[in-house]
Amino acid sequence: MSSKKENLFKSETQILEKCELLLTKEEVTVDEYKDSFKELCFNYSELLDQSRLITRVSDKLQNKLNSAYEAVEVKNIELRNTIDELTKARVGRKAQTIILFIGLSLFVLEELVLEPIVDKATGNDIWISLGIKLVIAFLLKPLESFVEGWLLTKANKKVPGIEEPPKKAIVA
Amino acid sequence: MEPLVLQPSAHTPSVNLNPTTGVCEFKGRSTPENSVEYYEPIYKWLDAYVQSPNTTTVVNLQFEYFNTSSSKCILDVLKKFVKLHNTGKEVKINWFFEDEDEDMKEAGEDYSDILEIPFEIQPIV
Repeated sequence: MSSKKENLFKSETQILEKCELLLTKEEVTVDEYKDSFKELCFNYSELLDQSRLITRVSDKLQNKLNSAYEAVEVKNIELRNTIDELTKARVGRKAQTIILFIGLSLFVLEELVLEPIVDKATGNDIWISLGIKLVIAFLLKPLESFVEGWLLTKANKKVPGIEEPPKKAIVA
Repeated sequence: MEPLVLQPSAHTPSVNLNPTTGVCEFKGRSTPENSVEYYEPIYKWLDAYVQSPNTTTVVNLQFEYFNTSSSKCILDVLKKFVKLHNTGKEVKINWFFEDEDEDMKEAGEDYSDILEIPFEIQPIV
């Protein structure tokens, strides 16, 4: 038994030692035994009451701790969801900016580089030129999803996640 | 006799024992690493107080949480007030609990039962 526990049950230990000492004595009268036994019974009864109380109170406080733990878990999930939503929103805005820049660049490149070549090859066919622009326009959305997904993976790796609480019960 | 004032910490309650007014207050959470060591000065103060107590002693207990060893220490503290009560002095014990904290309320009832002294168990408004 640790010294801390011995101190916690100091008076109870003293009572036990007193009775044990009586047992080691050779000449003890029946009355002395009776008195000692009476005292021991009284103290045992008190100790039993104490044990009952401490067990009951301890169980109740464990319930309280469990409830607090569950509340923390719920808050943890809420916090995780909020962080996820914030990350998604931030990444979405970033992806849109990137796509806007890519889109503009592609249209400028198409206009300056690709269109003269196409015009030369097709004899200034406006429908081919329009078709290329449409293809670029239709590519922007899937490209945005791809960039968003890539940025999200990157952000999830960078942002430290909220640690999962241990599954084992907390003991007071 | 000097009052005993212990400031609260993350693991210990605030304690304010005033011999002049006879008001003894314990408030907060009690989960000290060594409960006996923490409660030892309180036992000593109470032993001295019981020798020359106020006409009326009011004990206010408002715990948020306490660990198992503290529950034994709190019992030992309360026993000293019961001892005072048994000498014929007026001792009023108030057990406060956060509203809806049924566990803490029942803990107060359990203490009251075992000590065979009525507690005024009331929620904090």
